[in-house]
Amino acid sequence: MLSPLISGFRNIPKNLIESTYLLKKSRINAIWNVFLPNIKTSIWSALLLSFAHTIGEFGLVLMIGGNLKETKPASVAIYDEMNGLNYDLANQYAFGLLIISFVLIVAMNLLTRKNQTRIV
Amino acid sequence: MFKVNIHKTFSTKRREVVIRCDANIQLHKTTALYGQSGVGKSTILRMIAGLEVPDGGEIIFGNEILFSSEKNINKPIKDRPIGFVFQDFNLFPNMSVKKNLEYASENSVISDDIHQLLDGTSLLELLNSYPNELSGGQRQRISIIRALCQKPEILLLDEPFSALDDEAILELIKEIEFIQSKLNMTIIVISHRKDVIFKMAEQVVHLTSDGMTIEGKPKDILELSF
Repeated sequence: MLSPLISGFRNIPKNLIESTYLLKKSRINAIWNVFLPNIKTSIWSALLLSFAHTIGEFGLVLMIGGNLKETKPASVAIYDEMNGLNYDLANQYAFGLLIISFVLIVAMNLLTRKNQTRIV
Repeated sequence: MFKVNIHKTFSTKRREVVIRCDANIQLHKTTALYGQSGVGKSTILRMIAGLEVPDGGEIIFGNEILFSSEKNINKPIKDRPIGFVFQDFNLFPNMSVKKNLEYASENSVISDDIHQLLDGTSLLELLNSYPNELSGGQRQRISIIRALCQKPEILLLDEPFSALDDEAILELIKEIEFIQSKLNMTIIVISHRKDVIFKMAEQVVHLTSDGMTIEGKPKDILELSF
């Protein structure tokens, strides 16, 4: 989560930052009205990355949340179905995870590409 | 008189660069800061604006001391009556032209003076455009108008013409002359082009590479440096 945010802040042109000082704006005002809107893409990337990472999380969920019957992450469900020798169901869950990961990665690439051509 | 007598030293591993300026800039006139690359023209503008702190000297605008190492005064940027336009990346890309102007204005309301300037400079139709939809010249013209929203007494232009073609430069000069005639400000502009300086400046401050400052009329100074 942090790495895309940091690189987003670092990529803000120095002139833009100094323009806010020269327009006599406070730090908070500049962050809210100028810096955050200009790193919107980085914020989305950070959220998508965190989501993509969390959705595939296995060990931590099992340790902290336990193995609930009603709702469980796909990774834990795959583990359970594999243990129960239900390979078809495990494959379906794995395919679902694959599709979600693919969509997230495509979305992230599109966002990054858009970001590279944005600041004028 | 606008007195700028400042110096700053930058030390790198290989050499030491001393930037020095000792000039009496005329109020309500357009003054060009001229000199070779690396003599510190931009740094001097940045020190006047308060973006950098000089090592010593003083900056006095009329009766107001903006900086004095002797009296230990260094006014923060927000208390300096200065508008600044960079070479590029001036406008906020997330805001339309109108929003950029509103953001710079007091209480987010574009004043009547600025509306009059926009009318006079035919930029009114661009109000709803975003910076990435404008040409380089239009961006610079809007940047200058935005700097004026703060009602500054001094306008600093750091190489506003460098990325523009001849036609856009002429248009921008006309606009600056129009602004000057309306608002009677003190304008300091950096430009490498002698033809531009001849066209718009009433005074030239020439910074030489050995740290000297020569002041005079464009004709006298620029012919001397040919």
